[in-house]
Amino acid sequence: MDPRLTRRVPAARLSAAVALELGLADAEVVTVGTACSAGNYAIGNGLDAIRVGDADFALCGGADAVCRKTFTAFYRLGTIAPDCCRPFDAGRQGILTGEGAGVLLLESLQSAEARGARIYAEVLGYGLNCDAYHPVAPNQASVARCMRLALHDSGVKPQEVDLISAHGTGTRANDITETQAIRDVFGDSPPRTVSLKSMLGHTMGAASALGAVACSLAIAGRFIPPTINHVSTDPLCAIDCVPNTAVEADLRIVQNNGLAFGGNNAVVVLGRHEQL
Amino acid sequence: MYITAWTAVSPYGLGREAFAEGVLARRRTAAAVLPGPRAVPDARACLVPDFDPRAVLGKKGTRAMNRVTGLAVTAVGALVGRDTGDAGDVGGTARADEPDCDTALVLGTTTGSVQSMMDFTRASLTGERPFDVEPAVIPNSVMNCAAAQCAIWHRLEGPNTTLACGRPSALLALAYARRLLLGGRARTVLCGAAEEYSSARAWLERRSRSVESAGSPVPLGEGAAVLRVELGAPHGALAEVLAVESRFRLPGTSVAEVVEAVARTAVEQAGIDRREVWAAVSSGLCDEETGVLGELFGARTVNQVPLTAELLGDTGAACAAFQLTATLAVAAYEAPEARCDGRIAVVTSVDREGAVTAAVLRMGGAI
Repeated sequence: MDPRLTRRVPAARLSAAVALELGLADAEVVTVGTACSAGNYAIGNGLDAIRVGDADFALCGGADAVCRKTFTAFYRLGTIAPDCCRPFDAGRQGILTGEGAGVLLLESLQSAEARGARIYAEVLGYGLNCDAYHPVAPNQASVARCMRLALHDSGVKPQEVDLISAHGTGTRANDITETQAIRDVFGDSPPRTVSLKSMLGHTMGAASALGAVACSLAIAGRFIPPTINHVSTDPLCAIDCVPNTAVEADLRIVQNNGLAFGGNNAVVVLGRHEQL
Repeated sequence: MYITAWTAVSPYGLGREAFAEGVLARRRTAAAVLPGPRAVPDARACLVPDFDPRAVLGKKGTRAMNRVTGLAVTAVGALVGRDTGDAGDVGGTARADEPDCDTALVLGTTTGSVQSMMDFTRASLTGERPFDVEPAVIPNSVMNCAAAQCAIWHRLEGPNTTLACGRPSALLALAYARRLLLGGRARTVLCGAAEEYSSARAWLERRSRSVESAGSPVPLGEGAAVLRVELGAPHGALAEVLAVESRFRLPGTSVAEVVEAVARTAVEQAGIDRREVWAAVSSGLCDEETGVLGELFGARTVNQVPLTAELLGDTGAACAAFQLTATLAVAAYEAPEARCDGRIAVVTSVDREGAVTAAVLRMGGAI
């Protein structure tokens, strides 16, 4: 076997490749291996690194490629949709595997203003917890607790959240557990809750990073990206998923959910930055 | 931030005592690899003797558990055992009764279990149908499996993070743990790393070696080591973590110059004069690394703590974790009555992907 191929296996290569490409010598280069919520973990770590003075800038994100291993695993679990991904829909049949990468540049307000950067959003805070319950099945109480941790860290009350970008995989286990956890936290009239996976598929390690990118664009562009492929909402997923068509919206605070195998929950809260 | 407990599941056996005894005796652990069901390219390796997750953890919940997960669950168990307390002794197989929301786990890895991943993909390729795979092993093929199983086993509901950073993982885990603690995200962090020996890993290492620097290869090793870290240590600390610094080695720069830059910055950050350093602890996997530490801190400093690579082999993601526990073992042995002796250790690690990290510890720490 070609050594150039075998040496690509270690996951540290993922973040190292970015540092190599950008020539980042004075950088802490870390690959977070927490599966489908890794992007939110990276944003949280970047936020804390800047807050405690460990870094001036943090490039935070996630990347994943479609691969046989992942597809086979989800197929064997009976969670691959035969045609398209319909999160929260009564007729949903599962996920579509996807791929991609999303990266956000985090820096302090002072730094962004000093260089005249366009500010898409402010990272208000985040929450991490672990279900400590099941290797693949999500746990409603624990997912709710993670959202509460994120809101508390952000100094945000549930009623102040304007939009949730759900993990929203389009599987029965995820969608019902997640929407019921949302209702546990937000009550009977939760904020509009969309799933980008309806459009992007499940991009695994990239998913919550792409979610955070979309939330930032939504805040800056004053719109809500829709949950597409939607026919009729599952009564067990009683949320307004903004079906099929984007709507204009004045978003002040947006919550981005990331859940993962192993109960590795990570929720990031973003807010609009009012530039004076 | 203080280190208040540690444990190791190592080629010396299970637990802190076995590890400390082996390190202090500077006993090498490489042994002939016994023929198994899968061929390996190595004649010798440093394995955790007779380790079998089912034998150590019991038969419940271990049927599909892979080796790296077993190593991690066993090590973490020694630090969460409600009965054993701070003993760092492995053997408590009872699961925790109460969930713990205040304790985080930060676990380093290289790529999870490449054996589990390759077995799973192979089953898909060779089975009658591409989905003829065993569903019970699906979680094993994900990188966060070991950390997640530690949480399930020991009911750790706090932040649960897998850092796939290779050899320096445990040092980067210290930096990550500090942020969790300062952010109020956990009261206690268990941080460390785990690596398994497997046929798949051995072949990947063998095939990768032809592009590594020349010299006789270090045998592969395995194991897990975990530290408990907290912001305060009212009951005394084994060490205080003064600084963790990282750089990335770009093409055209030598290992020596990057290690020197990282180590210099780390001691500066820690407010330490480099002549005060008692031990400079290299990974031992790179001559340049050990050499430059000797030049920077004095030749004497690099011999204080045995090179874990010489004793335990190349333990992959567990390398820096074992360097830390070896340093703690030596410091405790040399000053059993006076833990707060304030001696300074600098622990460095160089990953093949480019990350270079150094941590500065004050042994004993302040209380």
